[in-house]
Amino acid sequence: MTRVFAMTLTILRKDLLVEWRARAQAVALLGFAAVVLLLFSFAVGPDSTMLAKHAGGYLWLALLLASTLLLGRSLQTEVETDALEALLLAPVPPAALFYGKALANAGLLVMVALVAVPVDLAITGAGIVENPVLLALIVVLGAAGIAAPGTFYAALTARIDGRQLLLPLLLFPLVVPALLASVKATSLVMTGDPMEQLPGWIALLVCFDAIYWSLCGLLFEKVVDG
Amino acid sequence: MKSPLAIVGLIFVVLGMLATAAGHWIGLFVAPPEAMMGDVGRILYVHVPTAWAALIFFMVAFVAAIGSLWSGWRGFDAATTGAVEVGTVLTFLLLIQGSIWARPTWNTWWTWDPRLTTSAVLAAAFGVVLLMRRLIDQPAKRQMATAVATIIAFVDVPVVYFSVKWWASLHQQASTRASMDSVMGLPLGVAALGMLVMGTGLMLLRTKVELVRLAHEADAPELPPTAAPLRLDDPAGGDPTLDEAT
Amino acid sequence: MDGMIDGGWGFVWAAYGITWAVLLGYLVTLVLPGRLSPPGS
Repeated sequence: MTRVFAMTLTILRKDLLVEWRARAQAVALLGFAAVVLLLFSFAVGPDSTMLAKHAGGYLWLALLLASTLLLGRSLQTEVETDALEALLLAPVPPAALFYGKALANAGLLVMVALVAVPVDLAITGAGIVENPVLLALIVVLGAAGIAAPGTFYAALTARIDGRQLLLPLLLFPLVVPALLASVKATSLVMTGDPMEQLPGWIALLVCFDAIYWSLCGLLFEKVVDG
Repeated sequence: MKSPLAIVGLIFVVLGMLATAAGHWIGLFVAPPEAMMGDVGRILYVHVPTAWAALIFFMVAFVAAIGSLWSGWRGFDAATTGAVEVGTVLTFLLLIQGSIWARPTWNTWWTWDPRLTTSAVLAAAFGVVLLMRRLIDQPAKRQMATAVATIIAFVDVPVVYFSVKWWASLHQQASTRASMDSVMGLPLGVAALGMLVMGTGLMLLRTKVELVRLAHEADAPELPPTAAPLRLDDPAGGDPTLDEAT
Repeated sequence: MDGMIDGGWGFVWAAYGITWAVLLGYLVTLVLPGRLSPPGS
């Protein structure tokens, strides 16, 4: 158990180091999220009340779209250099490989959110968030909700032709609950929560994360074996 | 057509269609108009059985997928495919019927009713599993990917339902459906049983089709090892992506 | 029977018609020659 944990941290460190060395790509991802937010604003028009009302929705769609780019290349290095087999022979337990990569992807998504949230607030004019800690919690939970099934499906589709299309097709229907909960919770934090609905949505996010972090970790062994 | 699976499948389809037709006949011509919906309420006799059957076939797919993943037996793979495909066809029908139902009763083709929305998400989630199967050439990998994606999609069903229900109920009042009348029980029950039997038959036929295809694929002679093609522009010779495929 | 929706048989026929057409069409695709038995046997 401790070995799996230690290996998870090693994989996480490795992936973040790889990202850091190729940081131009990470910066490009930040730019992508910002541009998507800008496009949403253009598509809806300059109606500022409308924009502010939907700020949470734009934020999470931008993050979800950015995540498909991020996830798509999350295993590409390993697959292209046949390093996946080497990692498994090392031996890295499949669960550690999954959790390390999923944590790295969740962390990168949170990093994208660090840029996307201020851009979103500025463009939509949603204003200052009164409770940034709560928003940070929602961002972390939502990013984790995208990262776990996302990493899993990225591994599943890694060797399939047409994976660029298949990954979002598999992922988007699946993360509908996480998306609903994240958007709702974010909007409530931004615009106020008179009816005390926030705890329920956060609980839903926690449940979604718990289900998919455990289920995907359990099934990942089969994915890398096949 | 000599295979027992195909014969049993065809018998099920015929019996199921007869029962479904009988249930629909009673629902359309014998049962009185529904109290609130009038004649439009008769759509329920086709809609509700479709919904039940779709959910049951996704459940069957889930069980078959677990068997497929842990045993590796080809029959489970074919059965998973059959159940997912029949469930997906029924779910698409469910969406069309739901839209047709929503137009006269709620005056809109689409509403964010939890059941309608969940069906749309399910149709997408399971439809993509079938699409993915087409894109994978290696049988073992295809079997694993199908099973895994089916399991994950099925686990999503209750989560999607409750999240959408909650999300929609905060926007608008929860949609009320016609309460079950006792006279509705007979046509509903007969049609539901018929749909289930018909769906089982279709699933068996689809399973057989998949088994034939898989056996054909397994019997096909191995491709000869591909020699590295001569590439004048590449001094090392050969294309690394070709080596990976063998 | 106040508030009962009048008519609407067109919607009913459409729902039943599409359902039966799709299911029968699906059945036909499954029993096409060569699908239930290997080609050439």
